[in-house]
Amino acid sequence: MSSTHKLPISRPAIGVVGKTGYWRLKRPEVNYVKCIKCGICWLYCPDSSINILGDPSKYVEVDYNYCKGCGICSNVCPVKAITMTEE
Amino acid sequence: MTAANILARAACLAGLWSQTYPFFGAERRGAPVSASVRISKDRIRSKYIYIQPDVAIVLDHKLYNPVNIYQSVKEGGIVIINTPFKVVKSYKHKVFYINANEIARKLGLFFAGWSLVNMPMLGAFSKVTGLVGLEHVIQSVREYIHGELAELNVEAVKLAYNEVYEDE
Amino acid sequence: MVIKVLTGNYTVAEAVRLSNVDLITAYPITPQTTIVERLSELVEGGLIKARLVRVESEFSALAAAYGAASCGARAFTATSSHGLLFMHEMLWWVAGSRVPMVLAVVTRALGPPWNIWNEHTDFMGQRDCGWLMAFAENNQEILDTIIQLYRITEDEAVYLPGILGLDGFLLSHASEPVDIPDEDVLKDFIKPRSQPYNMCSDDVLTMGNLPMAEEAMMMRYDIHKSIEAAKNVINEVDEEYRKLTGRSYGGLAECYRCNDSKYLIIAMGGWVGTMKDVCDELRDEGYDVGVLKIRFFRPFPHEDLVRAISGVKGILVFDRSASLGSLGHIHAEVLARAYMLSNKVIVKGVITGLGGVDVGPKEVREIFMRFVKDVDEDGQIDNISEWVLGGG
Ligand code: SF4
Ligand code: SF4
Repeated sequence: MSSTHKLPISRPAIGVVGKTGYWRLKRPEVNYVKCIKCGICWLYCPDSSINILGDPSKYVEVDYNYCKGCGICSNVCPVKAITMTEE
Repeated sequence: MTAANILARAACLAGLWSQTYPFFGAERRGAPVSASVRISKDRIRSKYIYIQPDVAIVLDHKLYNPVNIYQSVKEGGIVIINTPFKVVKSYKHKVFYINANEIARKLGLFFAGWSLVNMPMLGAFSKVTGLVGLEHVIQSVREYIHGELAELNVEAVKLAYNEVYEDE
Repeated sequence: MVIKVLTGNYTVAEAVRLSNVDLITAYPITPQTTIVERLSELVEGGLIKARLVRVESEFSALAAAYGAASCGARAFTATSSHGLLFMHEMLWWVAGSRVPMVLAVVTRALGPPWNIWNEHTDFMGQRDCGWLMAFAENNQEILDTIIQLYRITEDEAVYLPGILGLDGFLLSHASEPVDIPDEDVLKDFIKPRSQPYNMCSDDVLTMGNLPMAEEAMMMRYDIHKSIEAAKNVINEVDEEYRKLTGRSYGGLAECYRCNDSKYLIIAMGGWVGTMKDVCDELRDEGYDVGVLKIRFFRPFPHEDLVRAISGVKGILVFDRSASLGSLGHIHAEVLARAYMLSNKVIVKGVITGLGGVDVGPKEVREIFMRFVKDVDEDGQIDNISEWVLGGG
């Protein structure tokens, strides 16, 4: 790709708008005892800040560098395994 | 439309410029249709539909009231009519007759129950006007129509060329 | 070189064959239908080595062509009237993402009332999309301009799609002798496909992601500048084509007998041919008149216009479309430029030929004579934008 034009093109990258973790007021904490490994939180996170590790004791993990603390994961978790705690 | 295009190509072969227009919006089999052809020594630049022809080719004497045709053709112009008999006379035009249906019947030129009379009419046109030679019409017919049908049509063109006659 | 008697639509298909197109999308609409019919015959017969995709709507026709073009295919489609309106949103996508391709628009009126005949309103409705917009005067120019448009749109200074307009029926269904160049002649003229980026390469890209406001405006500005930059490219390509085929169209506009003219007729499309004939007659009768043919509406030939109108007393612009409640589209462009130069020149617009109304030499001459009388006798005109209806 070589052009002097101003093109509406971008490349996918991690954290293109910076570390959005700094925005966070509340912090999602996963209770791995309650977690049933459904992956719904991973699917819903608007910032792709939840990674699936697949580990039997730690199925999902929040990436706090980018988690902005919106609480969507906590809301959609079918067994209420994610609680939003004060930072 | 096919006949108009074949005539336009024949003119091209005769070293002339040409342009054709269909009568817009009515290109349906069974409906009355018309097409126009402009032929010129020079490239034809004008682009408009209205035409007052010097020559009219009437593919069926029953379809159009010959009187209306006479009104649309320039005074002193030529009208060539496919008809088995003489029709209403015009004192302002030169009128020619050709029984193209009979030619089509003799040669077995039929499609979906219709006699194919458009090619012989071009033969008559060539003879009457002298604008394009018989050989140009024949070559153009061979370019547009292929196989056995081409030769039958060429035969029809030749017959009409020889049989067309003027109203006395 | 071979001369064939072809309709405008068949000529479009010939041009596509000569342009080494890879992908054609086809959805029929009168009076465009015989373009895609002919193309499918040519593809079927192996005369065009392209893929022809039949789609379920005009929106899809452009979407599919766009997708293929963004992945490196030289693409073509064609439409008319309501089909073009249905495509309209996709036109913005193609131009906004800077993907070159060519679209033929066979101009036709818009309903209601239902009308299949010619006018330029559908074409003009795409004015602001960022496409280059050319219009042909005759079948030969259809052939030559489509071939040229692939070169122009794929030039790296431009990288924008292009439309070729042709008058419905008046050109699309009229047969004329057309000089078809040999593939050999065009061998070096037709270049390999060129585009700014490829969405199907290994370089993973996202197109159209949310930009900052300033970035978005920069992208619009870049399209604007690229349309301006296309002027040079159009002129160069016209010159290169002339060297190969002997045919030149003056680039963006053609000035016919413009030199020392007191009166100038300005128009676009098939009826320009009629106006040239009328111009010859009027010159023979002693009128100093010339015809400026608008060949490209985008970019608009401002420089040619400025050159042509210096010293002119009266300009008569014919539009086959109208911005309802305002002016004819070409008239508005001409007025703006003319008054930037001088406020002395009289610029009258005539809107006629809509809905298929036939405009021949008789009508052109009548309108012109009336204009000359107003300008010469009164030094002014009553009606700056006049609708000349048919049937009178
Ligand atoms: S709080 Fe919001 S941003 Fe953070 S992990 Fe949950 S859904 Fe993602
Ligand atoms: S939604 Fe709740 S249960 Fe499902 S994976 Fe996430 S934390 Fe576990």
